[in-house]
Amino acid sequence: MPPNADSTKSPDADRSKSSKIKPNITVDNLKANGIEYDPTILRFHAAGEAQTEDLPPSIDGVRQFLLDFTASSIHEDCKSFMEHQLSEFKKTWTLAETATRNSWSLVPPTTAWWNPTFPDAEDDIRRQTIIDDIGQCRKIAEAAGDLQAATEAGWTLFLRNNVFRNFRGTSRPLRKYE
Amino acid sequence: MFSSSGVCKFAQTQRSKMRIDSCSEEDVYWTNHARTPKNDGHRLTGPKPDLTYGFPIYKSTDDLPKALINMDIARNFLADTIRRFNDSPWKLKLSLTTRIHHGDSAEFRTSDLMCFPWAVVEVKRRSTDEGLKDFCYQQAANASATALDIMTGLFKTSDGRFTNDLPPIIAFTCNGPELRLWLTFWCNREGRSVKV
Repeated sequence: MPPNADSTKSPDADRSKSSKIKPNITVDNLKANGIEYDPTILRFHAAGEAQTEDLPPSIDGVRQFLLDFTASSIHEDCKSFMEHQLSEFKKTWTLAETATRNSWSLVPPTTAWWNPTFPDAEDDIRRQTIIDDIGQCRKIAEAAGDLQAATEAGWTLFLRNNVFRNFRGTSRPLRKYE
Repeated sequence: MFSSSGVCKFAQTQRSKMRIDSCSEEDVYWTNHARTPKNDGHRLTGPKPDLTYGFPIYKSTDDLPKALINMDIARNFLADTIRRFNDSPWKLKLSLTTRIHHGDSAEFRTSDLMCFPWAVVEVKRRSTDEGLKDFCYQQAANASATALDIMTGLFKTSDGRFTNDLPPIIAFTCNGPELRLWLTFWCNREGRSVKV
């Protein structure tokens, strides 16, 4: 790693040295360089609902676009299936987990559901593609569950292989619904 | 997991629609963007995200997709053009690494052939240590703010538009299975500052 590279050592180790001398990433250093960060999670608003208060309109447009599932929407037929999966999964939770655990990642938000009227044959292809996608996502989620105690390198490898795939040298056939 | 997969799909879907294809590189140290130390000593380390998404630099017209050879917008991504921006009065540093300015094109690595980063990913192991999580956020803030700086440089020399009109830079932080999506943008609430 180059001497000035983005360090991956723990913040405790960083604090023990003088940040005034060595380049370092801290809240103070970020602020001194004009960078503020706010870890507050913005409340999700579905399309058509009130805008997020703190974001400029041009930025909020990108936020909405990123959270818009209409390009990869899920047929409403899958909703009962996914809700059933969630209820089955919840049976394995402890009482404490039931009270505190979020389920937002297990059932998609409202905007993800889609109920078009297309010819049956085409609809069937779309539905099957989406079911395949959900199955793939479930496998990834299960694999992530086995990684709880993994090192940073283990998580990095997993995320690169399954979530943040490299564009170079990869191609993906267009799906019917694209 | 569903949420992150959905966002990833956004990028992939866009790929098929972009004329200038996006690319991604792992563990690139942005040598072209090590920050200048300030008088008060508050110097940030140079960004080195676990994954950087950006646009490719083409070594020559031979490397351009044939359909794009005569398009001005594609020729803007040639190594010569990127170098000219650096040599211009504005000294725009558009590539991530410095090799594009000095090295022989035969020696360029794929990481040297990337410009205009538009998204970064930072990964840490799963931990209950809030300090480690915060450090991941801070690394993402540093890298995405630098990416915004790169875009801003070009923006200011083009038509004098306000930086508030710039699209945000996207950052992902992954603390084990806890994924967060961040947007980095200019905010003039307290003068000239970047908000993540």
